[in-house]
Amino acid sequence: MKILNPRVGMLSNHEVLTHITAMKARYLEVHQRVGGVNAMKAENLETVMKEVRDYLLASPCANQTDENIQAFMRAVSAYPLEKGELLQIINERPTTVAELDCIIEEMDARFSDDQGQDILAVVVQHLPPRPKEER
Amino acid sequence: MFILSSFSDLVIVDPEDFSKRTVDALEDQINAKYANKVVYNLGLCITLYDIQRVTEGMISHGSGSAHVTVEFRLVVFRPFKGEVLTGRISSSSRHGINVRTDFFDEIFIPATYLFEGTTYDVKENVWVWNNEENKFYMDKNEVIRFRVEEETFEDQLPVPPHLLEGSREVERKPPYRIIVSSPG
Repeated sequence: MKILNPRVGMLSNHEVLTHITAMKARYLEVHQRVGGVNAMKAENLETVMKEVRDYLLASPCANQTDENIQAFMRAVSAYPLEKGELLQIINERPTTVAELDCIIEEMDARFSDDQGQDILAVVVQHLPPRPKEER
Repeated sequence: MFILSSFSDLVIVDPEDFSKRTVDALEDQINAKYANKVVYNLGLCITLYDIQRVTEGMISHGSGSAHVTVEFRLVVFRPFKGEVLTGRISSSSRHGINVRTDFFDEIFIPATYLFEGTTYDVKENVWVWNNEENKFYMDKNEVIRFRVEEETFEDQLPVPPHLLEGSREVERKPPYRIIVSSPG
C-alpha cells in the first residue's frame, strides 16, 4: 500500500451521501440481475455504508441537491468566506447567529451584524432544512 | 469532514472472482481491505471513490490469482482542526464527555475543553452547564456540537508474547482518536 496523495480534495457530506446511495443502488441492481451471491459484499463495507448513511440522512445534507449547492455558492460569493467555512456551512446549515459564529473564525471582526444576518438569509433561502428528528 | 485520498496498492484477484467484471472484482477487494479501517496518520477509510489506473494482471508462479497494481481514490473521514461537527453523547465521567457519531466512536471532550462554568454532577453522572440562570444538562444520547482540537494516531503493533503475561487480551489504545472542545 502506498499513499500517493493523502488529501486530493475535500468532499461535502452531500457528495459522500450521493456516492453511497449510488453504490447501494448499483449493488441492488446486481442482486436482482445475477442473484444474491454476486451481490454479497464484505461485512466491514456493509457496516460502514449503513452507519455513514444513517448519520448523513439525519443531517442537513439529506435533502440537498447539486443545484441547491451551486445556487448557494453563487449567492454567497459576495462574502469573503474561506473554503473550509463554506464547506461547514453547507454541511451544518446554520440558522442562528450563534451557530454561524462557531463556524466562522473571528466573526465579530470580519462581518457586521447585518452581514451575519444576510449570510443566514442566503443559507435559509438556498439550502433545504434538515429532516425532522425522528429518533 | 470527509476527504479524498489517492492510493496505489497491489490487489490480488482470486480465480473464483474471474467471472466478475474486473472493475467489480477490484472494487470488492479494495473495499474489503479498506472500508471501515483506520490508516495510520490518514484517517478512517469509508469506501472506494473511483479507480484511476489499472495495470495488466500478472499470474505468479504457484497460484492462479491475478496480481494487479491499482491506483484508486478513497473517501476518508478526517475532520480538519477547527471543524465543527455534531454527534451524540455516549458517556460521561469526571474526566470529560465521550461523544460518538453513528460510524465513529472515539471522540472525547476533556473537562478542560468544556464551557466555562460547567460542573460535574457526581450523583447523576452528568455534566451541567450553568449559563446565568439556566442549567443545561448534558445527558446521554443528547445531540452535541463540537470543534476538533487535536487528533492522535496509535500504531497497532503486535505485542511480543513475553509481555502478554498469561492474558491473551491486551488493552489497546484506539488507532485514531479525536480530542474536541465545545465551540463557543
